[in-house]
Amino acid sequence: MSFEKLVGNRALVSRLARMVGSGRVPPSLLFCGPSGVGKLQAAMTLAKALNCSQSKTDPCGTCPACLRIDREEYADVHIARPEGAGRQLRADAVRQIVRETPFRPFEGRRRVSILIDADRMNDAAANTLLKTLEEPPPWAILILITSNAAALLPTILSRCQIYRFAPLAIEELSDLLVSDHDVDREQATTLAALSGGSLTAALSYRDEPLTDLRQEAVRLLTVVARGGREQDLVPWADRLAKDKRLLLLLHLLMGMARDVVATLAGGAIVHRDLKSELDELSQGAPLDAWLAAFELTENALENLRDRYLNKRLTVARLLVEMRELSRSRQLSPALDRQ
Amino acid sequence: MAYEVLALKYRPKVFEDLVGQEAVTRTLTNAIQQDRIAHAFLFAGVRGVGKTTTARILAKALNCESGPTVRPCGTCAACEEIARGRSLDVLEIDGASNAGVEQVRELIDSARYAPSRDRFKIYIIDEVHMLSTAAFNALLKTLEEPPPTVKFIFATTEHHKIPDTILSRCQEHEFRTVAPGEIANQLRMIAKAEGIEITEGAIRTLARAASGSMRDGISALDQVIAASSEKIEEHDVTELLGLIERDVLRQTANALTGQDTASILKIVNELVRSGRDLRNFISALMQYFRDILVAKVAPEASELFELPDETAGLEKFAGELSEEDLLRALELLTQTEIALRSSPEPRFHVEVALLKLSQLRKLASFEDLLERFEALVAGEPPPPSSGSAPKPAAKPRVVAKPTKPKTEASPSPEAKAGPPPQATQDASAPDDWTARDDFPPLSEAEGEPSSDFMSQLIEQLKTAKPMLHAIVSRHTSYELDGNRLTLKFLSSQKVLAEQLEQKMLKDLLEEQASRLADRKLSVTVRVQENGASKDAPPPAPIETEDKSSEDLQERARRDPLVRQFIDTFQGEIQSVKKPEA
Ligand SMILES: Nc1ncnc2c1ncn2[C@@H]1O[C@H](COP(=O)(O)OP(=O)(O)OP(=O)(O)O)[C@@H](O)[C@H]1O
Ligand SMILES: [Mg+2]
Ligand SMILES: [Zn+2]
Ligand SMILES: [Zn+2]
Repeated sequence: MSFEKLVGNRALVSRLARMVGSGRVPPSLLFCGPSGVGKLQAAMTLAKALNCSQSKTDPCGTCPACLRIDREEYADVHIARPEGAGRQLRADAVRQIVRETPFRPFEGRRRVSILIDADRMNDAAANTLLKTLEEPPPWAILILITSNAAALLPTILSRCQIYRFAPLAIEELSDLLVSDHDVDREQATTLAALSGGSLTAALSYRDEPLTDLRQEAVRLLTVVARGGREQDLVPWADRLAKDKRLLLLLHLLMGMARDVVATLAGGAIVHRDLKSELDELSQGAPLDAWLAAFELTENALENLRDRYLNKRLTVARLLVEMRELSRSRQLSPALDRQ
Repeated sequence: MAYEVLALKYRPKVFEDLVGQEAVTRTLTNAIQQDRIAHAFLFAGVRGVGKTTTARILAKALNCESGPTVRPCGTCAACEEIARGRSLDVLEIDGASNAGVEQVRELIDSARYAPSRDRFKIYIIDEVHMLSTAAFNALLKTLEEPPPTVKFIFATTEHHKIPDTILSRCQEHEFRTVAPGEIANQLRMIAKAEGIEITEGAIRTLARAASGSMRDGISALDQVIAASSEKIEEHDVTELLGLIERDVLRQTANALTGQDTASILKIVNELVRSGRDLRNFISALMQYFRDILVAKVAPEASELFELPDETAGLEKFAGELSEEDLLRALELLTQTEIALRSSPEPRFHVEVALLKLSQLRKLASFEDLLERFEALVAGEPPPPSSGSAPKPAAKPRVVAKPTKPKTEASPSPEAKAGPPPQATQDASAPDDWTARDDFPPLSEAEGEPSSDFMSQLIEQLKTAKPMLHAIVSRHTSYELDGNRLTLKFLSSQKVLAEQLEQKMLKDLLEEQASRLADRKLSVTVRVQENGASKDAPPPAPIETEDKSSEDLQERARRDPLVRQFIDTFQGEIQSVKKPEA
């Protein structure tokens, strides 16, 4: 795959391509940014560009070198990834890189080492990298990849050129899903909206049937926004709590609440194909109420995801509280009613 | 083939070229000139300030054919070999990769032999903090009775990890962080030597972003050079380093105060699109609001800000926002910073938090709510919401059956020393938010003769520094011990109390307190972890219906929201009902 084909982060990627073209690739690089936005892809492309037997600037993707790099069989391109239950980048793996770097490449032009999730090294492992990062032999390139650069040692950061990857734009992502991952357009739009700009996140929902879930989310918001009755909401919550896609549903609700907020605030929405439904919802309650609704869903989602609270009660509470919001936008009318 | 990174290309080769480490180089060169060279050196300091560089220069200085000299020639066999890392007598060892006792033993063994050609056998152990305890112990022996021709140079970023026994046998050199101005000079020199065109603004931004590390500064310069084809501007630097520009913060504050919701979303979108870290953004925004706060309470402090463009705009916001607004903004941003770590959608979270912040001033203040609530209880029509606009002074105020008597037991210090007592305690509260009675009562000093010191101080602040007054009067207790005044706050007041950690505010407070005490006092702020909030287990999942109501009450009491409600309205839990399932 050539640099051209990488999706998103155009400016950054063309910088990399230019560096390869001019032969000025810095020896120690750090790729950071959210997960699933193409950092590894970019690193692999760079590794191929430096070793492709067809081209010295843009990898062909089809020569034996490119193919073997992709299959991780190439002697001069080494990938270390976290393993085991603790998902640690093992000190052994790091030491191996430090040990091998001084050797000239066996078959290619450059020896490239890629460390995935470099923040998941322990201190000892990280420290063994310092000398290699600072004064590598002329044939070595080290690429550290992380979604949490702040967790790396300052001595490591200081030795690297840092490339910051941004989340993918919604269109970039849905186009990519359609073109490369065999997803139909509607599903792609939904996945992209759910993904926070991360391809990995989008793909993780790929096999879920989402159409009905999304319709359910819209219906739910419509009912609570109209001040649905408790008798109806509680059984509904019971049913949702049993659905194994509950977290996904909450995620959708949260994204839609955000979109209503964005509509009221004059910004762009992510659930684009639901524009008319979201517009209608935005008529139902003022910005304050929708801001609070977003927070309630986010809270519920975090509670279920991280704290394993009781599903039925959490969902029931969420629905009732959201309904309350639409009913009592202000404290005073609510008290009046008593 | 490969290109040499600028940081290595411009690594100083003689003492004079080292920037910002004058104290170190002076001591070292004096020692060399007076021929009083220690056996072991420890170089400590943060990343990229010249430790490894100095170790190599020192090695050359000691072993140069024309040495020991403060100016190694750089061309003799010894100097050349050291520079290329090939010297048989200067061994540079990576402590991180050779941390075990075996490796250190091997090394010490070799120390017994005389140097093969040069004057000294020099061991540079870099990243020495990584040695195991056993390895340090093995080393200790040799350090105690070093052979006369052996020298050790240790370098580390983590001084605290070096055992005292080792420290006591080394001559220690502390490497300072390098000042932005010095980094800027060096970057300018390098850019010139490389024939790179770069603006002064870009240089200064790079220098500041380096936060004290010369290598960070040079690496960043390297990166902007690689990325830009033409003259490098400040904008290229901020973009590439993912910095949050002051201007973006100004725009954000503008949008927030102007309730310009569309701009808020646009700003966040642009930040995300350009790969900025939202957590950085929120903390930068917090710093910006702190600066506004300082500009508001202590306009005379503007020299505190490094550059004129840092103060620009601050006064405007200081004028528009009340202290209460600012404190709330800070509180909300603090919460946002924390919540961002676990948020499933950080971007949305930031958007919503900022929009909420923009609406804060529109929302009724807590005080308003309280009043309307009280009015309702008293059967009056609720007064209209007034936002945070100033309220008419003597508004009748009805207290809604508090669970504990408040005012008569101990009159507040304000009442004691302040204006003449009011006719009826309920009828007119002073129009001062600090007089609200939902704050923890001021407690007596702990075993201190001048038990009313704090009340006097608070009274003094009330007119002199209202902002400090607002914060300080929320303390729960204090200690005045010699020259140290310790103020304690509940953890619920953490955000507020932390404002006192800002140098400007603290200086002001110390000045005021010292004036009152008639001696120099230093102020310490302590936030109490009230056991409940710190050690409380995470809220228990509310599951089964068969829990006794006692138990439910207990759990309700632990809920932070419920607690806040109880505190605010001085309420009690009567019964707990579960949502019917
Ligand atoms: N005081 C200085 N004066 C000039 N250049 C410096 C100085 N300190 C560091 N540098 C530059 O930074 C590079 C790294 O410096 P050096 O290796 O001495 O850092 P260090 O203090 O050993 O850092 P670390 O703890 O990360 O190993 C040098 O090659 C040089 O370009
Ligand atoms: Mg060093
Ligand atoms: Zn190829
Ligand atoms: Zn010499």
